[in-house]
Amino acid sequence: MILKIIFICIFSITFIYGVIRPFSSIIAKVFIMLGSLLGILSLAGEEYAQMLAVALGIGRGTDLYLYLGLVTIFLFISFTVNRLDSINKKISKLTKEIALQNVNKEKTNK
Amino acid sequence: MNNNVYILIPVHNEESKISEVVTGLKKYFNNVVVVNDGSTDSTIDVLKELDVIVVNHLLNLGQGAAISTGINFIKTLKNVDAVITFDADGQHSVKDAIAFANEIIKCEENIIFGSRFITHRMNIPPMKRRVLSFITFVTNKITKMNLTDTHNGLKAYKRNILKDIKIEIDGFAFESEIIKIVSKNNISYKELPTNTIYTEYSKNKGQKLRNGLIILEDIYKSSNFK
Repeated sequence: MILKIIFICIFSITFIYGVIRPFSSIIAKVFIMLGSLLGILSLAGEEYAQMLAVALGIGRGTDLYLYLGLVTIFLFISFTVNRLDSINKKISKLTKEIALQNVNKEKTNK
Repeated sequence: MNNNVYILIPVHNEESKISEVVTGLKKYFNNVVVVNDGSTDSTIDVLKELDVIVVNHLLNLGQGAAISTGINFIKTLKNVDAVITFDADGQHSVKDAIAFANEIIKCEENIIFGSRFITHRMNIPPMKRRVLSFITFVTNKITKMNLTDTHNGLKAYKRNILKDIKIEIDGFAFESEIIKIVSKNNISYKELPTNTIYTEYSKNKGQKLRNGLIILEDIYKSSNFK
């Protein structure tokens, strides 16, 4: 019971955090809010999760969480890869700029 | 002695070979630019002892990035007629570089691609030959060009086209990107035969065949560049 309350508190704080914090991506904001709501729902009322799963045609509440978990992992990987790509490009640009600024041109054919 | 033809060498961890390569070139070329691409061995110390212009990447970015930086540097210089890119692992022959330098000065074309498949095809190890042929086929299809060897590091560029050579890909597939730029901008080109020297050292240092997959992936990405 204590664990259940702790997790509900964590999901509630996450939800509030998602609402208050400004995100550069609206998808990330919605994702955090929906994820934390589903977390609260699954802990506070298992029967609601079951009803939602039936309504979505998944059948069991546990399968709903399994599917959502997989989607989360794939989305997370996809966002992370994009982010890394973008950081790599910035590092590459910076490295090239620094290299060009530090060249000793004395040996060139003037 | 070629004073206005610059040699551009991208280098990464070539402490044992770079001195020999540069010494061979310096007999015929006054200006050699070496881009040290974040070497972790003593390459940079060796370069400091040589009569070359050193451009130093603090991090290892890849061959495409090194060529890009080198070209951007040479663009800022005066008295440059042409640039020849040359590999640091000793695979390329100085004789070929001289032939490229003479030809790029007198020919009408703006870029010369080196090809291992014109006269020295059988020098290429069989498996590598097949992979290179496949990559050449894919690159030609995507870029609508008609080259016999799309991934040969030995190339010559006239100064006036350096402004068009904007390389976005840091890795091996920059070669395909250059071909795409040539195709897109209708830059005139020709091919010249090169004799690649495959030693045990260069085979170990050179591109691994599995890098072909990375090249294909990069070609796909580059096909999405605007």
